Amino acid sequence: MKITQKLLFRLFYVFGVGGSLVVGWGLLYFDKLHYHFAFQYIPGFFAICGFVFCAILILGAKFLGIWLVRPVDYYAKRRKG
Amino acid sequence: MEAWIHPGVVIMLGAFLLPFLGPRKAKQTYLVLLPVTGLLLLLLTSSGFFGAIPAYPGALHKWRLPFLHYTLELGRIDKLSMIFAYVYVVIGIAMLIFAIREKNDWEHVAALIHIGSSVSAIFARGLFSYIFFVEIATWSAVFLIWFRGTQTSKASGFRYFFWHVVAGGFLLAGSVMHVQTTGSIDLDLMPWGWGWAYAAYYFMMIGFLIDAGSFPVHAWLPDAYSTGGVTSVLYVTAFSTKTGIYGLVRCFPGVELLMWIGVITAVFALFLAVLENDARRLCGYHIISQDGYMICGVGIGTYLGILGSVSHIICHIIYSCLLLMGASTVLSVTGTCKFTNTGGLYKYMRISFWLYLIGGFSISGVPLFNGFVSKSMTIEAAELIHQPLVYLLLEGATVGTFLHTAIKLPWNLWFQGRDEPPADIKVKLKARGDNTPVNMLIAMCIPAFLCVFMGVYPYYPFYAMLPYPVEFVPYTTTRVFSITQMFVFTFLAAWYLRTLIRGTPTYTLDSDWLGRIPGQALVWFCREPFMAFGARLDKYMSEAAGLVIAAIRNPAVALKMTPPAIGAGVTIVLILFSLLTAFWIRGP
Repeated sequence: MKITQKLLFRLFYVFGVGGSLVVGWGLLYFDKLHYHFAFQYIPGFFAICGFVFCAILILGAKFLGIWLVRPVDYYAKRRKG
Repeated sequence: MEAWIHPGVVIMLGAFLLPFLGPRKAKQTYLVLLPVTGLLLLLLTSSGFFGAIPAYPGALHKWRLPFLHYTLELGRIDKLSMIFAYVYVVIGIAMLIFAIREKNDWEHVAALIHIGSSVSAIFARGLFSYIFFVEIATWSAVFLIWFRGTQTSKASGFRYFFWHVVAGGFLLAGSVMHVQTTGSIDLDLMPWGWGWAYAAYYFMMIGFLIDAGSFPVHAWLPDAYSTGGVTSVLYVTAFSTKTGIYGLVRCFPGVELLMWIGVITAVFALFLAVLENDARRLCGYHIISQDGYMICGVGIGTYLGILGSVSHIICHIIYSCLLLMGASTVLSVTGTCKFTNTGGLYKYMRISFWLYLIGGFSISGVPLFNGFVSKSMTIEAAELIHQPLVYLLLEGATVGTFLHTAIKLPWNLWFQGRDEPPADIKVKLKARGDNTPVNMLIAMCIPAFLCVFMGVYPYYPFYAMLPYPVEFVPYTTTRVFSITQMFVFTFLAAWYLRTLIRGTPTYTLDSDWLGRIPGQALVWFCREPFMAFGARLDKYMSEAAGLVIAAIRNPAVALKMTPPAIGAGVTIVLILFSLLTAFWIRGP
C-alpha cells in the first residue's frame, strides 16, 4: 500500500483523534486519571484545550497583527526619512 | 588560593592561544580539545578530586581572593553551579564542532571567551565577580553578533550591547546598594518586599530580567539572534539568558511577582511567533517563551518549582541549541531561513530535518524527549500551589510551542507542500546526498542524543545532578495521555488554520518600538533641528566676534564709515548738540 498524505491523515483521524478520545473516555471510566483540578476531569478537556488554545493563539495573533505587522524595512525607512 | 583548576578561566584564557597555532587542523583540534579539557576538569571536580561536594545548599569554596575589605570567591562549587557548568561546556563543545569550518579565528576566540566567561559567572559567589564575568560575556556576544558582517547585524549588535549595559547598570546599582546596607557581597538569597527599603532588589531584579529576556524587556533577543552570525550567534543563544535566570534562581526564589512575569512572558512571546517569517526570530521568541517557564518556576519557589526551573534551563539549553542549529543549517546551505523563500528542502536536507524535529518535540514537551521530563515539573508545581490560571496559561504555552516548533517551522522550512525548493535555492544544492556539512550533522547529534536519552531515562545522571532530591515521576498515565491528546488536537487546529500560519514578507513590531521610535526621533532632533540651531548660533557668534575684532583694529571700519553714514552721524551729533545747548541756555 502506497503511503500517501491522504492515508496518513486517515490514520491520524482514526487513531489519533478517535483513538485519543476513546482511550480518554476509557481511562476516565476506569478511574485511571488523577488530576489536581476538577475541570481537568471534564471528558475531552485536553482535546478541547489543545484545539481551542491553538485557535485562540493563531486568530489572536492575526488580530494583533493589524497593529503590529509592518513592512520589512520599517525602521530603516524611518531612519532615512 | 586553594587548589582547583577553574574550567571557565582555562577556556577563557586558552582562547587567546588559538590565532597563534599555525596549521588549520591544529586550530580545529585545539578548538575542540580546549572545552573538552574544561569538561574533564568538571568531571574531576564531581569525582571529588579537589574535595567532596556537600549536599545542596552546601558548597565547596575555592579560589578565594582577598580584595579590599572583601574576599572574592570565584569557585562556589555546589550542585546548582555544577549542573549549569556541565551543560554549558557540553553544548559549547557541540557548537564549536558546528562552527569548526569557519575560517575566522576571532569568531572562535570570541566564542571560547563567551563560553568561559559564562561558566565563570556560574561559579562566581560574589555579586561583583558575577557582574564582571557577565560583562565579559556581553562584550564577546556583541562580537559574535557582529561577525555576520551586515549593516543589520552591526545595528542589532549595538542594540544588544546597549540593552545589556543597561541591565548591567541596574544590577551593579542594586548590588552596590545591597552591599552598602548589608555588607555582604554574596550572590545569594535576597530579601523582597514593597517599599523604598527594597529599592536595591528592584534594581537587581530588573537587571536579571533584562538579561533573562523576560517580557517586556525581551525585544533585544529575537533582534540579535536573527541577525547574528550563522554559527557565531549560537553561543549567544545558549548562554546569555540562562546566566540571567541563574541569578534569579540564586537571589529571588519564591517571589510571586516572578511567577506572573514568567507566565505572561511564556504566553506573550507565542503570539508574536505566529506572525514571524524568519526561522531564527521564531526560535528567539520560543526561547523567550521557555524563559517564561523558568522564571515562573523560580517565582513558584517550592522545591518542585525550583527543580522544574533548573531542569527546564538545562533541557532548554540542549534543545534550543538543536533548534537553532537546524535553522542555521538551512541558512548556511541556502543563504536564507525566511519561510517565504524556503520549502521543498526535505529531499536535500533530510538528516538535519529529523535532527531538528527531535529538538522541536523536545521543546514542545512530547513524551520520550527531555522537554517532557522538565516542563511537566514546572506545570505540576503550579498545580500543587493551586494556581489554575497559571496552570492553564502554561498549558496554553505548551500548545503554542508545539504549534510553532513542531509544525510551523519544519513545515515552512522543509516542505510547504512542494517537492522542490525555489529555483534560486535549488541551484545551490547538490542533487544527491544530504547538503548539510558533516561537521554540522555531527554537532547536531550531540544535543539530539541528549534530548532523547534524558527524555527516555531522566533519573541518572540528569535528575541525580539536580540541586534537590527528585521524587517527581514524569511518566504517569495521566500525564502522558493528557499531553498526547492535547498535541493531537493542536495539530488538528493547526491543520485547519494552516493558511494563517504561513510566512509573510513582513516585520512584526515588538516592545522595542517604544524605545526605537523615540530614539530615532531623538537622533533626528539632534541631527536636524538641534544642529541647525547650533549652526545658526555659531554663525551669529562668529559675526559678533568678527565685529568686535574689526572694532578693536579700526573703529572706522567697524562702524562702516561711508559718506551717507558719516553724514547721518554728523547730523545726529549736531541735533543732539543743539538740543543740549538750547536746554542749557533756557535753563531748567
